[in-house]
Parts: sequence; C-alpha cells; structure tokens
Amino acid sequence: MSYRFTGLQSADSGSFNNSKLLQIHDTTMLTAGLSAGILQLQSFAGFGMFFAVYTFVNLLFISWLCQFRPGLYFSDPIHTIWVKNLFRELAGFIMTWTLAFTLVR
Amino acid sequence: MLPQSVLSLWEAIRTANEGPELLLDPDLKLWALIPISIVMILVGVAKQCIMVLVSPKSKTVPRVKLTEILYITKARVLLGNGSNLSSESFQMRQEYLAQVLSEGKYLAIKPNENEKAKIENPFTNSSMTDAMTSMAMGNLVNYIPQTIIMWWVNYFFAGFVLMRLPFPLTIRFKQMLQSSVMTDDLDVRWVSSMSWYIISMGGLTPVYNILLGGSNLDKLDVSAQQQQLSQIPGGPSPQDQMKSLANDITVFQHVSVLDDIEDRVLKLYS
Repeated sequence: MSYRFTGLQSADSGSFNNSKLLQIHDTTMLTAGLSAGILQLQSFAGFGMFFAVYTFVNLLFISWLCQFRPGLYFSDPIHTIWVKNLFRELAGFIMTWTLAFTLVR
Repeated sequence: MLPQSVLSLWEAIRTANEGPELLLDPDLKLWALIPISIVMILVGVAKQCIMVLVSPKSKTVPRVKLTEILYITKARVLLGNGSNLSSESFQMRQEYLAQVLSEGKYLAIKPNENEKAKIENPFTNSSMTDAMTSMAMGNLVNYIPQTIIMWWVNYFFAGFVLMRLPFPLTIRFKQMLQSSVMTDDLDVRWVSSMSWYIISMGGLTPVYNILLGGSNLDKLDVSAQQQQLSQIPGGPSPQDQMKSLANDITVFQHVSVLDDIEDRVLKLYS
C-alpha cells in the first residue's frame, strides 16, 4: 500500500485534467464520426460505433493515462469521464458522420 | 463465424427504411455544403476573437482587498490540504491564522469604518457594472451571428434537398428539416441546407476546442471568477467569513500523513 498526498485538490490541476480529457474525447469522437461516414454506416450501426468507440477510448484513458486510478485525478471520476461530455461528443460525432457520409456518397 | 440468422438480422437493421433513392447533383456538396461549413467555422473563430477583445482588461484590486481575499483563501487551503503537513508546521500555521483571522488584522474595511458604508449598492460598484457589460456583450456576440447565418442559409440555400442523413428520423422533424422543400411524402432523411446548419451548430463545439486550444480562455475566466467570488453582493461579509474560518481552524482535528513515516518507510524497504 502506498501513501500519497491525501485529499490534495487544486483547482489548476483539476481544470488541466478536465481539459486534457475533453481534448482526447473531442479528437477521438470527431475522428470516429469521420470514419463512420467513410464506412457508410447507417442508423444503428453508426450509433453503435459511437458508443463502442466512446467506451473503448474511456477504458483506454482509465487504464493507460490514469493507471486504473481515475479517483486520483478526478473528484467524481464516473460522472466526469462517462457522462459529462457525452452529449457534446454525440453532437460532434453526428456532425462529422453526416458530413463524411454525404461527401463520400 | 456468425450464424446466418444474426447476419441477416444485422443486414435488415442496417438497410431499414431505405426508401426511394434520389440522385443528387454532386455540385451541391461543393457549392452548398462546404461553404456553409466554412462560414460557420470562421464565424465561430471570429466570435472567440471578439470575445477576447471585448472581455474586460485585467482589473485592479486595491492591495488591502487582495490581502484580505488571500488570507481567506489561505485559511481554506490549510483546512483542505493541512493533512500533508507535519504536526509542528500545522500547529504553527493554525495558531497564527486563528489569531490573525479572529482579530481581523487584514480586513480591507475595518469594523468601525464598516458602520458608515453599510450596504453598498451593487450598481455603483465599478467592477460589478464592468462584469455586467461584458456579460451583455457576450450574449450579443453569441446571438447576432446566429441570426445572420440562419437568415443567410434560409435565403441563399433554400428550396432543394442537400443531403441524406445517415439515420432515420420521425415525421415530426419534417417541418423543421425540410422546411423549403415542397413535398408531402419524401422520407425525412432527405433534408435541406437548414438541417445541416442545425446539425453543425450543435456539433462544432468540439471543433472549436481543437482549433483554438480553448485552454487560454478558460484560464482567463477562472481567474476573473475567483476575483468576483469574493465580491458577491449579499454574501457573508469578509469579517464574518474570517470569524467562522478562525473557529474552524481552531477546532480542526489534524491528522498528518507524515505520522510514523519512518516506520512505514522502513517497513516498505525491509
């Protein structure tokens, strides 16, 4: 068992972590939307791809960047990682998906 | 190998509600879809630049006021992160802060002067009016381009089907997404330029975040908010805040992470 700083919460590091997570979400989800459009996925397949990629990216984020300890970096890890950016990323995904879908056809 | 039935079900889901196929002019992409996208992105970037220009310059706060705010912050930080200090250092800070805060040594407005200026009208306070002006400007900067682009799209790109959405929608959306296309029974997936405007209005936020980095603006906002936090009208006065913090610090039960650190380190490497 390792002893770390307990309850260390600085507003700066919190917002830095949040912006890093947001940037990762934004980039990956916009790219995923482009790929879904290029693959000509429709309706359920496209939304399925969104949730699959979203889950995959989050698991990768938790395991790789957070070293399985998201609680150290976020005060409310489940809400911040899974819920907070969901609709924003969904809107971005739909936009790039529609764009690529139309351009490729 | 997936069983054949699962594959056929998948195919059925994938190609459901296909409807009749329309042949669209490929020039539509070049002359309607791409211009709308470019204009929307550029307007968003310009909006951000205007917001930076309009946002109030770094406000000056009198030194005594700053000292007061920082002492309140210091007490809060000590309560929050005090467990990382050794017992002696914590005790020193505890005694000092409890004494200084309960005395009100660093109050910007000393209690006897306080009685004269009892309740300050928030509208005469210059920092408050500045904040309100910038807020109004921000709303205006957000609202005007939206109206103009909507008018522009409606005026120049009306009357044709621009694209096919990759997902089905209910018939309710027909009114909004096919507003200028005069057909009764066209599938809702075939939509006019207006819907591309609506879709990209929702989806461009991540794009701006990537394009502009976003971090600089956020930092500005946070520091501005922190300064305003201590000046909320109607909140507890700094004197009361200091008094209650002094009480909190006096009764705080301190547990240090450094207690028995030698034993733990030895155990770790034994």
